[in-house]
Amino acid sequence: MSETVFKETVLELKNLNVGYGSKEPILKDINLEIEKGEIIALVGPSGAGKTTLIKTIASIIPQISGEICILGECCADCLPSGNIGYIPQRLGLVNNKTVIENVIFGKFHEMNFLDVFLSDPNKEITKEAMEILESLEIKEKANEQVKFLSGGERKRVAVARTLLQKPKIILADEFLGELDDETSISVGFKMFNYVKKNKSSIIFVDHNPARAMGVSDKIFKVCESKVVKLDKQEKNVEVAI
Amino acid sequence: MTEKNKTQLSLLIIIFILFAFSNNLNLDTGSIIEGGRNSKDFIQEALPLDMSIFDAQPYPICEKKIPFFCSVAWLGLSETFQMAYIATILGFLLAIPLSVIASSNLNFGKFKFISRSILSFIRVLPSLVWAIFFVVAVGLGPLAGVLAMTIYTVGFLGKLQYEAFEGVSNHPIESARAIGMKKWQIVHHVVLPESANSLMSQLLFMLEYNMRHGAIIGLVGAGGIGYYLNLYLKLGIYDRVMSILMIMFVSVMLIDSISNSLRKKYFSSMGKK
Repeated sequence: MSETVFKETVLELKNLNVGYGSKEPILKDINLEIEKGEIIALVGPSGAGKTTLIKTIASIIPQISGEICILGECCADCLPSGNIGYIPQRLGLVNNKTVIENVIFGKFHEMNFLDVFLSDPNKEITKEAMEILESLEIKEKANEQVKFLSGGERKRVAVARTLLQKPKIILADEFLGELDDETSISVGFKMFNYVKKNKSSIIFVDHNPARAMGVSDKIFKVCESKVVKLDKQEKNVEVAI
Repeated sequence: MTEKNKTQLSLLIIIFILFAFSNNLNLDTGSIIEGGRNSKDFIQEALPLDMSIFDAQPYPICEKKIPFFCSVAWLGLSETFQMAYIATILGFLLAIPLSVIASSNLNFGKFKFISRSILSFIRVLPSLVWAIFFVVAVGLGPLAGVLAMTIYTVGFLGKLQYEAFEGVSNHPIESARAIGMKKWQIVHHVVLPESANSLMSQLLFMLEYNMRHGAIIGLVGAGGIGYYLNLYLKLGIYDRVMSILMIMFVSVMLIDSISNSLRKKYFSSMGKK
């Protein structure tokens, strides 16, 4: 007997053209639907436009044309909201602030004016942030400035910030790159576990085909100005990537 | 024409223009020789230094335990330092919102142009001209000096600040924007902390600058040590003029070395645990 599954689209890209200003679009006519709870891997060669696509969905770069619908709200020139968690390639941490201060940025959209101004969250938020840092094995560095951390530790801080934010959609640009296997598994597990547990969705860029295949529900390849869905059953996925 | 001939011709043209301009401006050597004689007279009258500027003034009667605190040197210098300090802090704080708006990476649209125009206009006039303006507006005294230096500090620091803000990496700004942080939150929690080292350095530099200029704007009646310098110049008491110049030199050197050591301490902490 087949089980009825109600699918809910959290992100929809309609005829989207992305690029920088008046230049020729880097990616053309993208149509994509991401369901609630899905893990999406974005693969493709360097310079293909993966980061540009992620930045456009995050409303950092305005789209040339087309629509981006987030949680059913479609707009041509969206303003970012707390619904999207974003981990850029270079992590986007504030070097002169401490680990805990960086993590708490994720909750700013829920805090009142004075608490944000003083960077003084309530006890529940601080407790939650510390628990996330503990689960990522970086709690002992909570009061250290980010500029003194190693590359792997910085990645964990960026992940912790996103986990505290509790976004509906996570956009992560190579967030597991440059990590050793053990840390990569541990950090990746936390992130993907969060996505499944909270019915969030994640689009992550990865250059590791085996990992992308192993953890994702769907794989999309960005290449030659197009975004193409790859069949995970195909044996030649690795070759295609 | 060979390369050598071209060089010789260029040199001849430069020398010809030099003489033509000198002739046009009546820069005759007679005046220079006369100027040399006057300078010699000035130095003869200025030396030895008159140390009475370190003694208490005869009027008003000094009520302090240590007479030095009623002296021209102390009163003038402390007033100049206080003026410079107030103007630097006020100017720094007033410049921040203008420089935030003027930064091209924070996207304030047409307000960026307005803010940059205000900062440019302020810088067009030197602090001495601002001092004359405020002496006319609010009268003689330290208030005119503080206002003049504050305004000039806004123009000067404003430019340095927005250049520092533009130097902040785009990644944390983009990241903060994507997670829904508002513009003021990005400025307060990302841009200001990331440019804090530059801002600190600029603040110390401006304090030194205002200390030097505090003495100069006193010449037009805007208070401080410059007031006494102007007074003694007008009265022709050159040994006191020289004494004041010496203590100004020493005080600026002192502030310079303090700010240098602060900078070293501040910047040397970077990159260390």
